[in-house]
Amino acid sequence: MSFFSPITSRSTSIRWVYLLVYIVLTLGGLSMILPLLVTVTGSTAGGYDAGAISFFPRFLVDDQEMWRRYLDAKYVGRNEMLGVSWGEEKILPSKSSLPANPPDEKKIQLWEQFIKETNPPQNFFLLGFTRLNNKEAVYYNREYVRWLLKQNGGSLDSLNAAFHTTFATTRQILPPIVDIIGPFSPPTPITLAYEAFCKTVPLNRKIAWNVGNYYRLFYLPVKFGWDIKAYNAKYHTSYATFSAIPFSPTLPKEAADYWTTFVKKTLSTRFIELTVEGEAVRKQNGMDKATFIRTIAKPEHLRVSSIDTLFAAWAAKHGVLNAHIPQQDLDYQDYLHSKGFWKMQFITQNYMYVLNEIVFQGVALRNTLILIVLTVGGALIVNPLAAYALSRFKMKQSYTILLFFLLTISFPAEVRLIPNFLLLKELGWLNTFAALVVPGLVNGFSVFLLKGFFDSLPRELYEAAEIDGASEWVIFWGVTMNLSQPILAVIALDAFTGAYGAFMFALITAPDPKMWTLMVYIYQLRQSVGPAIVYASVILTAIPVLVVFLFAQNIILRGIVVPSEK
Amino acid sequence: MKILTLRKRFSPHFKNQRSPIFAIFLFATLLGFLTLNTQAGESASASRKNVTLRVAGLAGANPTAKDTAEWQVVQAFNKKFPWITLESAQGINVEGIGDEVGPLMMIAGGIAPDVLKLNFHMMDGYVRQGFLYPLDSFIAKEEAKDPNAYKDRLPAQIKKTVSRTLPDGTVHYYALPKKLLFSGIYYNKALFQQAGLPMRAPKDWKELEDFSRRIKAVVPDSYGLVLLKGEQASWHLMNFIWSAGGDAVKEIAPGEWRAVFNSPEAVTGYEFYYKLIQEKLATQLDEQYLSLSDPHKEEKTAMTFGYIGEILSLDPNKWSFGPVPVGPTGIRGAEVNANLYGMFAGIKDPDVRQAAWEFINFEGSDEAQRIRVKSFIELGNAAIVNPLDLERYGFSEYLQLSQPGLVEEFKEAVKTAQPEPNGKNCDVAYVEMTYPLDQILGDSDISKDWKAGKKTEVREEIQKILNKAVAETNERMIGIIPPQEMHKRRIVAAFVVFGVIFAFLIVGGFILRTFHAVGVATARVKGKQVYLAWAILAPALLLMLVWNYVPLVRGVFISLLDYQLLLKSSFVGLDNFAIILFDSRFWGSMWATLQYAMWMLTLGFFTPILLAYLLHITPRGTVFYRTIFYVPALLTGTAVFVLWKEFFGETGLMNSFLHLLHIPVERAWTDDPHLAMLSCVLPTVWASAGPGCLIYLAALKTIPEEQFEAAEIDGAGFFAKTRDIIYPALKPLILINFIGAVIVTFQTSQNILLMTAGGPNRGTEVTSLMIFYEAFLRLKFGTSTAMAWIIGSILVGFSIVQLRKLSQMEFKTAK
Repeated sequence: MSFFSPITSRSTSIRWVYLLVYIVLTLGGLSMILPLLVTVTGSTAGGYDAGAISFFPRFLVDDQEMWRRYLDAKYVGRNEMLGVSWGEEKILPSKSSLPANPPDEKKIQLWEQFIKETNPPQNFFLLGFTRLNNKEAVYYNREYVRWLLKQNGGSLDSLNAAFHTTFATTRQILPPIVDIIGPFSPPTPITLAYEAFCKTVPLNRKIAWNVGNYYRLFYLPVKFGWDIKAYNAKYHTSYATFSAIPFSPTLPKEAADYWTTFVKKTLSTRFIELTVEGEAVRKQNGMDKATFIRTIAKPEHLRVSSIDTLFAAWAAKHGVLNAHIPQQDLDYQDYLHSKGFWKMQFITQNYMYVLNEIVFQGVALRNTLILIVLTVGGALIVNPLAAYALSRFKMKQSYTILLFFLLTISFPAEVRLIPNFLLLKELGWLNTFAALVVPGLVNGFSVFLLKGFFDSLPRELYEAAEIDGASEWVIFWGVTMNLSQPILAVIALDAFTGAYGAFMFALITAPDPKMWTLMVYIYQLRQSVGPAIVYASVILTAIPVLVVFLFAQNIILRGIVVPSEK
Repeated sequence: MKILTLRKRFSPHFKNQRSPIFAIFLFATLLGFLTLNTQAGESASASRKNVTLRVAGLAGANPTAKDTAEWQVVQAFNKKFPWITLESAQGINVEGIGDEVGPLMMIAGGIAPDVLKLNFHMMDGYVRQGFLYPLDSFIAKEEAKDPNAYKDRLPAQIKKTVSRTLPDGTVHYYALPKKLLFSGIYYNKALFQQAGLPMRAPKDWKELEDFSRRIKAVVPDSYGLVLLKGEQASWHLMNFIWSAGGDAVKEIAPGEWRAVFNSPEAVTGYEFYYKLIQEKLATQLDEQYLSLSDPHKEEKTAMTFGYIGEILSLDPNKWSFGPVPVGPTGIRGAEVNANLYGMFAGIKDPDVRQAAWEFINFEGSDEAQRIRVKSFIELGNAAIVNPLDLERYGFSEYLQLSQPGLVEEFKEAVKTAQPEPNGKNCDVAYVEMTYPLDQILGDSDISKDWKAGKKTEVREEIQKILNKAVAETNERMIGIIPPQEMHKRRIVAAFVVFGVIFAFLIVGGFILRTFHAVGVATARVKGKQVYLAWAILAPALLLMLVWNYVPLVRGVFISLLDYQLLLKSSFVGLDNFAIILFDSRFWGSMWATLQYAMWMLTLGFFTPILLAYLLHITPRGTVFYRTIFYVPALLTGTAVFVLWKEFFGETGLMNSFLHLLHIPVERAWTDDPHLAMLSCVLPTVWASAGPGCLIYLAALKTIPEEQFEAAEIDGAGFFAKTRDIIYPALKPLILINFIGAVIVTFQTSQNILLMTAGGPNRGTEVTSLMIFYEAFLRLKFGTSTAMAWIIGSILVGFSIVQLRKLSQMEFKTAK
């Protein structure tokens, strides 16, 4: 403003100085803003895009990107699943391009008719949008929890009672793990509830477990190093790609050894049926089905009965040969119908998750609000009262008392911390609001500061009030406090910032999850979720501060206490 | 004498704790009698009131095979004991410090679980601090019913670890194992196949080397044998030391333990470890990599040590399990470990105690074990179930699913395995053993001799390092210090304490003098008004006294005590000071504090001043830039660090940015010894530049415009104006803020806890964080208070300058 006069400002050397200053300020400003843009963008990310530096969520404007994001979220972040479900070799959600043709409604109708007629079990499908690794708070994970709570009394306690579980937070409730390979759990009450939930989900948001495709597009390629020539050489065949290899529900002649190990050792037993002869052998040996398959069953005893083989057989009966599950068409259909819905989901999902955790199911925000009210209220009563007494009544000991307050600033904070903690423990105040509020209620410096301000108020006002016969309380409230609003605002704002950011002391004195403050909660959350959810939680915590700052910006600018030498 | 009476007054824990418990017990027994009499004819269990039992780490949350099995055990427990409601006890998880401090934090925080989850090396500390309730009476009752009730559950080597001898010579049981775990070696089937190796674990050390070498020949980027790094390294190192015939600690007399990892056998173990690393046959990785959740790391891992409990811990499709390789002595040094359950001593209600016992007893019972095995089999996991359990619980038909030979290997493991060090004061033996390991691995002389093939020299050098480490361990951990040495230390401590007292006295006198000079006597008030004044002052005065002055006095006494939360604290004089003053870790933390302070007081302190200066000299756009720089202030301190921890991650913003500049940083900044401290500093600089500059801007605005004009007329240039006008205007403010910044910086622990938690290798563990850990995570209140006093006496000089300056200042809100 006035560092350089208008005349000197025009000289060349000063212009260079200005240029340099503006470059430094702009770079500094960018370093302030860009991390926050990354945070906002990152809070809408999820799977493959979680770690990328991006200043804008590209999927909002780019359909190609949106389609990839959709597939990545739907296919639970499992890269091999997309190719297996579509019947294509080695495609990734992050690399796939928008389909050239619109979804084939005829194929979809046939598929829907098949589902309607045969009503296959829910565990023949993978529910889309149920990522298990906490990288993003995907839709059906949250919907499942909400549905489960609604069905079981609305609260976590009633849910725990209904299922005899000990979930401590809703974050722990996850869909059961089912897969195409590996062991399969027999139903428990909660997995049955999950299957009931799956029934409520539209068909084009589920992914069929395509065993045949898994075998030809993943199992065999891994065994043959993704080299079809190796396979052709071994079995004297001439397939162009792995996807051309047929999959037989029963023991085939070609690659019988691979089929046998696949079905006997790898494939989940829920996709395997026993032949009549096989069933007889099992009964003879008194074994359960799973053990029989994994141990003594001969490959001739087994028949794969998965949704793709069932569909092919059903379609053949209805005159359609070589029918494949139209998974890509289903995906594209849902994408086209609900693009806006999914965009909205990707933007809001992580925020909804955190909000649910801190507001609707959790207590962190409630605790913090109570803490703020108590801290700000307390600081605005106790400190001014003490300062008022010191300012208004000139006692013999006034100076000693002020020193008594001010001296505490120089006390080593750590020495105080441990005995204070032990005292709180002995009083039984741990895990109460008292522990968080009372020890820091009086602040020596605040009293000192307030006394100085009260001293500077005109004496005449007090005298006038006394002549009017005002009580001490009226004088305190009506005169002193009324005239000291700027400094009180500063103290209130400090108290707010302190209470809102309470962390270390809260960590020690209120470790009970029922008493966690917002910052303690965020600290705990960060340890178990991916960056996208962390970003969302950070943005959410900034909103109350933003609101307070917007209302209090004058106080912040005018209430800065500047010391100057007397 | 005076000290003693004061101690009583300030520490209610000196009161005899037994009397209230005894009274309650008496009352409860009486009550029990009454109910028995009035409800004659009803069964005992019906008269029992319903209790809620808080258990740490209760399973049943995730739908994994292991949790499903545990969940079914809990269901069976619920059915058998309907009067007990189980509740999952939850506390705070402090990242980067290991989960063993969790229960201690919960005990301190007043939310201790009724049933504590323990392991061997935690036993001793817990018993000594009186956290565990003896289980003898409960065990005796069960054994009265069935003399063999605990024969299999407590094999000889376990029996010794869960029982402790008290000072009065009586032996008590303090925990029961839930499940025994045996260490062995996991090997990667795919890599073994690729290298054409036989499908079995290496038999001895020679084969271990050979296998690793052959795998490396085929897959050059393989890790070979993966070994744990850092403070966990010993869990793997121990397999070699035992196999060489050595040991970590030895009981020289009942209850008297000594570190012995400098024996020639132990040297052989360390030497072999060194050889594996030196010849790149093994790779040290952090624990997080060893969980093998990352498929790329899993693929490259040829072998690693691990446990087998009720099931294999790694995917049996990819991994096989075998016994620990035999050393040159022919000894197989396997480890036995266990999940233990103990009863919290703070339980007041005998019914809850009974409930806790039922839970502890049930979790490790054959009944529960059978449920687990059955659950695994039902889930189709029979192939990974411990084959001995398959036999024991009548599922032998599934044995054919087990890996061939596993049964025999298991039987041998059960016979030979030893528990980790768990004797008196041996709780951190494993951690202590890692310090010489890191030293040996990084020693340039050893490396030179190794490459020159001088085997004897290498052994001698290792021996020398170990001798020193053993002496330090005996001193630090077991507390064996020669009396002469201790005498010397006490004298040093006395000098230091005298210095601390002196510093505070000087400062106290100084304050009184300074302020008396300023104090101006004013008109006095009389009569009723005096009472009114005191009445108004009372709340603030009382709060000030209780929460600021009393703690200070009490802090003096705590620093002289071996402070115990539940037991009687004992007076130890200046020993707490003597301990920390000769603890290299304390001085390491002081060094870290200095480093942190250097960064903060340069980069952190001067950035806002520079920013204010730049904003002040710019003619246009001040408000715009000021707003932009203020935006990070929307985030609270914790949120800033939570956010930047993501940015500093392995693939986070900062590394991506450096990647653009072609500076490759492979790991997270917080794990990099050179960048970790910077990662604790930068977020503060980022977040506080804008808010911090406001006060300087306000001060700059108070400079009258005429000063600049006058200077201009005098021909003052850019630098002259800065030097003659700006600098004098800001000087008092800078000074007082700098003093404040010093005090704050030396007391910062939160930012570092959030960012690095003190790591890597304690490189960023500043003293205030060490105090926090020692006090609230390890419950060593005595020594941590002594540390706080030392830090406090360093800062008190700054405080006095601060106070003096404050007294000379006027405070005005900016207009």
